[in-house]
Amino acid sequence: MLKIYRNDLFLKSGLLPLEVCEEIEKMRKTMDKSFLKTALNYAFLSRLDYKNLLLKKGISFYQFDYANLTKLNREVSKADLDFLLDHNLYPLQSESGEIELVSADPSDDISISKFRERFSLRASHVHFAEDLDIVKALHLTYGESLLQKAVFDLYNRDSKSSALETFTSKQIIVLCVLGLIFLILLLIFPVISIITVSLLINLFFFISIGFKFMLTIVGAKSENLQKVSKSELGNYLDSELPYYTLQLPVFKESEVIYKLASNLKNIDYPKEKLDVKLLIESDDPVTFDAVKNLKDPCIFDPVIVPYAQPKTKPKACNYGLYFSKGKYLAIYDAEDIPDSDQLKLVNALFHKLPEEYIVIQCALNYFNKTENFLTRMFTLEYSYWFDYMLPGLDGLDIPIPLGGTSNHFKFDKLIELGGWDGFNVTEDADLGIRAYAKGYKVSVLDSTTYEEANNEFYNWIRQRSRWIKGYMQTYLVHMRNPAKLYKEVGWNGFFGFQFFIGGTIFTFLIYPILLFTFLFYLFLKLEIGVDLLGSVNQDLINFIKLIFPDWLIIVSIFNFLAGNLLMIFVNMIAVFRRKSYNLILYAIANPVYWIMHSISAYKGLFQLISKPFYWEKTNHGLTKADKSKI
Amino acid sequence: MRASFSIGIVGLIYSVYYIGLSHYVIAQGYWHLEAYFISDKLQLLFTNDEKTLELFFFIYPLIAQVLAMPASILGTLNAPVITSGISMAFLASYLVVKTFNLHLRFASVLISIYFLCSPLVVYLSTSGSSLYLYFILYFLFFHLIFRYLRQFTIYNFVLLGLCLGLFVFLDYSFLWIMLFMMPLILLISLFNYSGIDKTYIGVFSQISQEYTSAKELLARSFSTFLVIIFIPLTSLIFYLFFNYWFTGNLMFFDQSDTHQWNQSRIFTSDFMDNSMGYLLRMGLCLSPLFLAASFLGRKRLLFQMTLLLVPIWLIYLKNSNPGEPLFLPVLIIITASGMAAMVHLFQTQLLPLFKKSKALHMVTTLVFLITILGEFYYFKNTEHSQEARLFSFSESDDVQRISAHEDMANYISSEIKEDEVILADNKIFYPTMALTRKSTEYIDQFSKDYENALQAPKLYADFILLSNADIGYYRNDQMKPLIEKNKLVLYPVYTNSEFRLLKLK
Repeated sequence: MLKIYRNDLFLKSGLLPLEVCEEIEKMRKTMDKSFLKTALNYAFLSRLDYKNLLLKKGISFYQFDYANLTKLNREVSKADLDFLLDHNLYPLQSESGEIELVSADPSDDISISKFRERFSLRASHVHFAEDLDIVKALHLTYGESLLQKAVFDLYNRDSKSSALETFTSKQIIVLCVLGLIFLILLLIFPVISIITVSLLINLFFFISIGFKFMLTIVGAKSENLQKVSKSELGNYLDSELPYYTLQLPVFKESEVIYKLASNLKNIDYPKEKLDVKLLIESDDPVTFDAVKNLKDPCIFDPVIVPYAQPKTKPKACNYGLYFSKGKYLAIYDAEDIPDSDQLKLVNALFHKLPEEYIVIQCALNYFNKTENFLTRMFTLEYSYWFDYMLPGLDGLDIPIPLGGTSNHFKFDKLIELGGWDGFNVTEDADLGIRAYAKGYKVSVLDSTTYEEANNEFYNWIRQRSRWIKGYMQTYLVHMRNPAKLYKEVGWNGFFGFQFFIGGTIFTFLIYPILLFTFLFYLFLKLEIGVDLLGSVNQDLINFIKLIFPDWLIIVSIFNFLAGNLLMIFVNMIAVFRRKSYNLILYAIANPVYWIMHSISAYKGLFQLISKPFYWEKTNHGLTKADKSKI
Repeated sequence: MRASFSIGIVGLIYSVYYIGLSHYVIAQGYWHLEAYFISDKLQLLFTNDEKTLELFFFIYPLIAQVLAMPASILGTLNAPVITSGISMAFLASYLVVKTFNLHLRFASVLISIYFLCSPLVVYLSTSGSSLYLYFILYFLFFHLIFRYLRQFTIYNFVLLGLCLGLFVFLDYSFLWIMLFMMPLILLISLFNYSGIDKTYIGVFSQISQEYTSAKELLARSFSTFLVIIFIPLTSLIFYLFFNYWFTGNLMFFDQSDTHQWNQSRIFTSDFMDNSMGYLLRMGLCLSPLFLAASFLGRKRLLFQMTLLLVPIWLIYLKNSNPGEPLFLPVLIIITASGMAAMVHLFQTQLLPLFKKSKALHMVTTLVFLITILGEFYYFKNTEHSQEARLFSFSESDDVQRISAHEDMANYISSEIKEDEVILADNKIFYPTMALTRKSTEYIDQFSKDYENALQAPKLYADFILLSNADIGYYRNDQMKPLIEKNKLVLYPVYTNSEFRLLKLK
């Protein structure tokens, strides 16, 4: 066995100075992890530098055959797995029962001794491999039962809350019955039926838009509100701060991984209290290799998520829960840049709020807001959503659908809720509603996480279609038993859910139809229509008047125009909180932006039926904007 | 929740008082013509199939009619009066409860008494006209600007935009005030600029030296202006668009003879004093509260700039319509802004002074008394025929307390048979029609047979209602040219001081 001492490996080689080694030693004792694990996961040492050092020492790496990994012949509990992960050890057992170990640190005799004590097994030989390879092998070998739970736990606990089933049989029957009733009425009373349906559509459309407008106004009341003051932040010493888990699910993110490292360093929170989990899919060599070759030290602990369908972010996050140990847990995307004091603010706010508040949603916005038309519109949308609409929901005590990232949970309550629904592509929105249904609450915080706004049309459509599809899933899941939902969330919550979640889907689906009707009627009324269609024009107008009397046309046109104008107005208001005044005139283009939403909505509807769990991956790292300005 | 409950209870009490008072005033023979107008149009709306669109959308001010609709359950005739009474009641209630909750007991009592015995408030709440809307919206307009000065959230300007949006359907010309608000908005943005010395000179000099700061200031001012003007402007454009779409005339609501209660000023006196002296006198009558607030807040620049909008607006109106005297629909901006200003001052650092200073209590009482007297003087000296009638019923010994319209209506309802038809010009006779539509059929501009009836009146009607030749609006009466053109032979059935009912054949 190769004998290398720690001093030689880390100190004398110049890889780590003495004081850093001492700091690492202090930390690793508190956390009960190996020296190397601590050094690599807490930004003391970069993986690439360490790998190059070992290669220089003439160490050749053990290559795992991931397709043929075998478990030990004894039961390996969750605690055992944690031990192996914390000490970068992978036990190999031959058919004859001989034990060999794969370790990441040639100088780490302590871990090997601990292994012997814990497992009562003596290793005849020690191989060496990169720490990430060992982590991957461990998760692939021993993570299966946890993976099963990550996928099906919610369904097993409460099948009615899972989107595994898109439409229940009851829902299908109800839809069919309603469709049949409508057809019968259409045959018997065609004009009245069409008028009634038109009125209902107009009414729902108007209420949905009006509701969002009202939320924006209510949210605008708290525009200057600071939920946690600077002085309140100072009440918490670093030593009193709890452990905080940050989950960073990534997939094919080679571009942003490098930026991720520096973003995490800017977080103002004691390093030793951070539990950052980088969730990498096992079939993602792009990200895997990118992490291996990171030049800079990073503060995260890679977790390799074994392959299983559905391949979704919530499934990865659920898997990551089993390796998280923070009192609070937050989700961030790879390219996110949260405000440096966000975690401390959340901690302070949780202390201020009553016990039933278990989630805090921070605001999201974009660092590349002026890159092009799309990023500007996206920024306006997010500004009104997070700066005005969510505070409006908060103010009216209506369930808040969580945003994709920067949700901060009380970890124990998250476990109690069953984590995320692995089958829902907007697992965050679903979890927010589920929390309310169980009697818990969500609050909002005026601390911002900056993300990269989609700057490419098709990428945007893919992303948006997933969100809208997820909203459809969320709506269908929670409306399986409307009476139960009403009892759980009350009057406010129930109608808020209908108009906020249901209304969002509905307005995007109905918008092109209303637009077409408006333009068609305009075309018929104007000279162009007369010139092109001649006498047919008048016949058409007469037919339309038969099924759409004058007053209904006025109502529809008014509704359509008022709805558009209200949304333009809401987007205009959105610039004030962040002083993004140069975006205000872009609000006028909101009707065009809505057409894009409608395209995405129909795409999402199609996928809801054809492939409900398919996760449309959004490509990141496309921006040319300079993030240093934040 | 508790404040809302208090507002509800106090509002209910005031509502009962105002509605009761209005019934007393009506019984004494006073009724504002606009109330008749709204009532008549509501009755037409619920019975007329031909011109539903016009009656719903193009009667102006539209908002007065729409708000009166719920009360029409209790009767279309009383609906305008009930609506004005309830609306003013809840404004009173809001102010009383607000000042009470600020622990300004003395002010709260004074406001309560003011809303019980102020001639202006009595007029607004009992007349059934749209004046109460002017008062409430003017108050809201200034109240929101002042609230912004305290809170600096865009919320208040959003509501201000909505308030101006309502003005589109009350008096769209008020939107011109936005031009005069531009300097105020710029100043507000300047004052709200963060990170700089808060003296105006310091702020201005710093900004003018930094291009980025200047750009941000202008951008903020522009954005604020846009947010305020967006809803009213788009509402106005919509409204004009609807007018054009359905009538072919962009300004149909404003130019049509029959869609406003006093189109072409036919019901107000021809000979009115439109001098500046008259305006100043009448304006001063309504100014005590405004002047007192202005004095108390004399050291606050933004506050003064806001109040300055009032005289600027009045001067602008006077200059743009030199031949037209200004009456309550314009002048109550003075009282409303004064009230909003006082409410604002109550919520500033002056609050402890208002609570404790005996001198200030005395001054407030004095202002209160002068305000009441001023309003009384206004109504005694106004040249507006409707306004002048407020106290006339209490002073006149004339046994003929009822108006000519009511007199004619009494005759029609008692003598004319149900199957008999009367042809009349709605813009003059809507008060009579409002009182008798339930029992009598009329052919007027809202009937489908009106044009035909003008060509061959004998075929369609049994009677013609006509104004007397010595009355001012006779020259506008559409029946006059009809009679002359057709050389009709008519037999007078009933005549009173202003009108005559003539039988055809």
